[in-house]
Amino acid sequence: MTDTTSDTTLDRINPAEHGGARKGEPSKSFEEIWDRPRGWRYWSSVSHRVVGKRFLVTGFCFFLIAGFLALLVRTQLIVPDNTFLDAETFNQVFTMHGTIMMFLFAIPMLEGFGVYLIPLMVGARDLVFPRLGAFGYYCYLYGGLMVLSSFLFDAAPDGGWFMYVPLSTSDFTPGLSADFWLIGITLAEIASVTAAVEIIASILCSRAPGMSLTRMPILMWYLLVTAFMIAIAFPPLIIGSILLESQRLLGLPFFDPALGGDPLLWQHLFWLFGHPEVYIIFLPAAGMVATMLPTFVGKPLFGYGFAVAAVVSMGFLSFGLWAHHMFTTGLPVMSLSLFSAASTMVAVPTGVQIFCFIATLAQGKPRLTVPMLFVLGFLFIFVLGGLTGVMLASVPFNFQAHDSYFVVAHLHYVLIGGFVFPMFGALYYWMPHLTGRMLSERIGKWVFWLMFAGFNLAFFMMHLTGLRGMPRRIATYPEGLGWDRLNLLSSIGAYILAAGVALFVWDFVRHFRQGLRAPLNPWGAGTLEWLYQPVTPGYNFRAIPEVRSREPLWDQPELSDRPAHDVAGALRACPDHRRETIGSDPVSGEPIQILRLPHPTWMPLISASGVALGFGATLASFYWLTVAGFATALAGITAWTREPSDSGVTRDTGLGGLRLAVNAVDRRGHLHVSIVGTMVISFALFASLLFGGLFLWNVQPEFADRVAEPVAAWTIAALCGGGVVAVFGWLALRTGARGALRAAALVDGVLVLAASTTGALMGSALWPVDPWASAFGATGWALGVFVTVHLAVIAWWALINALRKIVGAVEPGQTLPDLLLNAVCKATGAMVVITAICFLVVAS
Amino acid sequence: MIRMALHVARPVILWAIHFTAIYALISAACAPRALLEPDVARATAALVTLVTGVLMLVWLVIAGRVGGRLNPDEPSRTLAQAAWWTNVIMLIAIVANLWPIAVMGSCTG
Ligand code: HEM
Repeated sequence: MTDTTSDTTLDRINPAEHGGARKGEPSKSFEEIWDRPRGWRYWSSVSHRVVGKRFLVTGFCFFLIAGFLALLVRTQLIVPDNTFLDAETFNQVFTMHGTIMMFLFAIPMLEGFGVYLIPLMVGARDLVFPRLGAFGYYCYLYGGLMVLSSFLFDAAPDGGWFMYVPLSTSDFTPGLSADFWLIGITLAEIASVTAAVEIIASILCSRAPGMSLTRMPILMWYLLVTAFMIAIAFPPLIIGSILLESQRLLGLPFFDPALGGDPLLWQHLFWLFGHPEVYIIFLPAAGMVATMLPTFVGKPLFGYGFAVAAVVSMGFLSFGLWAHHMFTTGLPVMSLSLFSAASTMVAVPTGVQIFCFIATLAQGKPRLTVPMLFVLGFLFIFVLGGLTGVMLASVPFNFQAHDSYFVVAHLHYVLIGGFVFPMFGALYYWMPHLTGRMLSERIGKWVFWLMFAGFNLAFFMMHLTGLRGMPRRIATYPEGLGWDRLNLLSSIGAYILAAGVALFVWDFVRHFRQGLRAPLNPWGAGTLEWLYQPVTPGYNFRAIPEVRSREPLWDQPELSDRPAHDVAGALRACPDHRRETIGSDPVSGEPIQILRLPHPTWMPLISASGVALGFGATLASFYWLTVAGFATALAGITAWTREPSDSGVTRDTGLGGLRLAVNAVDRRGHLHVSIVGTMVISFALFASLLFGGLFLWNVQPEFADRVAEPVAAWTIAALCGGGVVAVFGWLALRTGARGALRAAALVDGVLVLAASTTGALMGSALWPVDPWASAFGATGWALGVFVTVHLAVIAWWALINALRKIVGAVEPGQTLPDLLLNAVCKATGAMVVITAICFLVVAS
Repeated sequence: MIRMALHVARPVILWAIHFTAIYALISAACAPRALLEPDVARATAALVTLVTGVLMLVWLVIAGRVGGRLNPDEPSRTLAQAAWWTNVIMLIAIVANLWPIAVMGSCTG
């Protein structure tokens, strides 16, 4: 292993010469530094173990709530002409069921598993951005509570989980119900995008020495692909929600056909998110299956390379399917066929992956433990769901089955088979790690069989009710249509399924006192998270071991022939009394830096509370509070980033004399990788807006052609401004790297000016365009505002960078903030240029 | 290893570009603005697919040969295997993308 930072041009200066590291908490021992804060300070904890468990517990509570709502639906439909729920309440109940299951249960649960497991499996002591994880959790919690609180105000959303327009516009849904959905879910989604950045950077940049990409546990591949998918799939929904909310709040006509808008734009944006979402839910679950299967078969996963190919292919192909949810909206048949073909294609990598699972099973005689039963249940149910999916991908069949109970059956076979069953298996599998005790095998078998039998009874029948013509989302039905008995059986099945879940909850509560204490590596797994006797100490690894195999606990005897505490590895010494872990090269896994990790802090909670206040006040139309909320958030986030920098100080890692820099200035480092990830999200947001503009231009030409033109001269000036911002971002980095801090501060100052001026030029260019007069004009403004927000971030950031240099908070060579800002400047410059070119095309 | 990781990524990225191109061509031909004649869209789609397909075939052969040359214990070999399979899947997928625009006489079928 070599000190790989030395070849970057930025490291001509050795920061180690410029001062020593600041001590963290010198009075505390290593163990105390990693200790969880006690009492009320527990809420300031940012450890991935704490945050991960919070996600899991909160997500599971939402599952129980949404499950209860599902039982209300089934109770209403148990007999014909039932009056248990009125139609209004029924609409609210099924909408909230779908919404909570998709946004507040499935995604947060997988985030919870990711946040909890990633560092343990890749050999790190924490995620690379623990505060971001905590911030995301609080946003999710606030967003979820906001959506749920709509019941208290009798304003629960009732437009279905996909909130189609025009139904969800103010004309047809007056009151606040749709706003609860749009604002609450957007708030909760902040957790998803922050988790995406966190997962990408943690998997790529904090692996144990020697853990190359191909030695990563297979679950890491699944989570990595999922995180990229979240980064690209969530932005269209976020943009759609913002556009719809601004139509409801400000009257901008994005979806109003009378002013050149189009309701189908919402459907496109929603399903550009919605279809990949299904895979975002499914892939991590499949990854957990791929982790559990080898343990119970006692052999490595068959075809690791095939599985990687399959998961990468699925990640991409799943973006080409969105319009298969729109087969009956009147899209051109040629378009439908494209989406039909792509939908069928996705069965190929899915098949490859299922084949890997079956081949692994065939390699040995699996132990039929409870997690394994859930894995087998997954295989059975998911394959059936996949088959009905292929049926629905065929356009003529889809025309028949659209919006019928056949679709409800299909989506639950995929979601419950593809997520709920693996998730229960995973809960049984990792519970010893989470709590130190085992759940009961005997009760677990009952749980499985109740859930399996109940599920199939409930949902298999729905295929038949659907084929007999029963539409989804109807509050009741008349007698004698041939649906009565099938519905009765479905409802009984749902109760049996619920009994299984209730039994699990009981076992969970019981196991805290009566569950057997978990032994070391209770299932005999090969992955690193089982190195310690449960419960693993808060620092995960006393020393971070070198990894030479995909199943280190099976293949590396030096890891299991001594107490875990004595296993040799990196960073055993802790000279600076700080939380630290190893930073690795994203591909080879070689150590390239020492990562300093934050200690407990209130800033994530304060910032998230500010954001939640901003969102909540917008909902309640207290706009001065909105401003106060976002100002609090900005202050909180600024305070959290204002940390004394030790970047560049070198320390011995304990790996054969290898010395590495703390938070090195390196493009392969976690900070730069995370900024690239964030820019991917920004570009996806930007692309969603561009798509919206292009779509309206293409389908509503007569309106688009009538829109007033942006001022060409200002647009050209803005275009040049974009270039200037990119150049000065780069110049600030170069000047900082040369150690000329005063000059660099000056360049930062010019950058502040350039970014602000470019934003103003953008506004001047758009001035003649009336956003209320047409949807196309409103989209132009949306693009302008979007890039201006980025420019404002650059101005604020550059200002802080300049001030830090002026007050001496930065030492020569500490150019990490400049490196990161440079990346943002380049990306924003590109967005400004593209936007300006679009304006010029429209103007010409 | 970095090269092999890129070998896995490039066919999927190419597929994404190809899919976007075909979707754009169909939209240009079939939406109210009617930017392109369906025949022009079809010919362009065929050309784009041909270029994409040839590139993928070349990558497929390269992935196969690189994988064959690597020692079975070499970590990069797993990536070579993944690259080969990704190429195969994506090659089929671009043919699937082309198929509707190639066989349909007009936008309405
Ligand atoms: C636990 C057992 C569950 C039962 C008994 C159940 C039952 C139902 C029923 C009966 C409907 C149809 C409502 C209607 O169209 O009138 C429905 C809709 C739906 N369910 Fe479930 N469900 C369950 C679990 C789940 C899970 C785990 C998910 C997702 C992860 C989910 C997602 C949805 C969605 C998205 C809808 C569509 C809602 C809409 O039409 O807006 N369900 N569910």
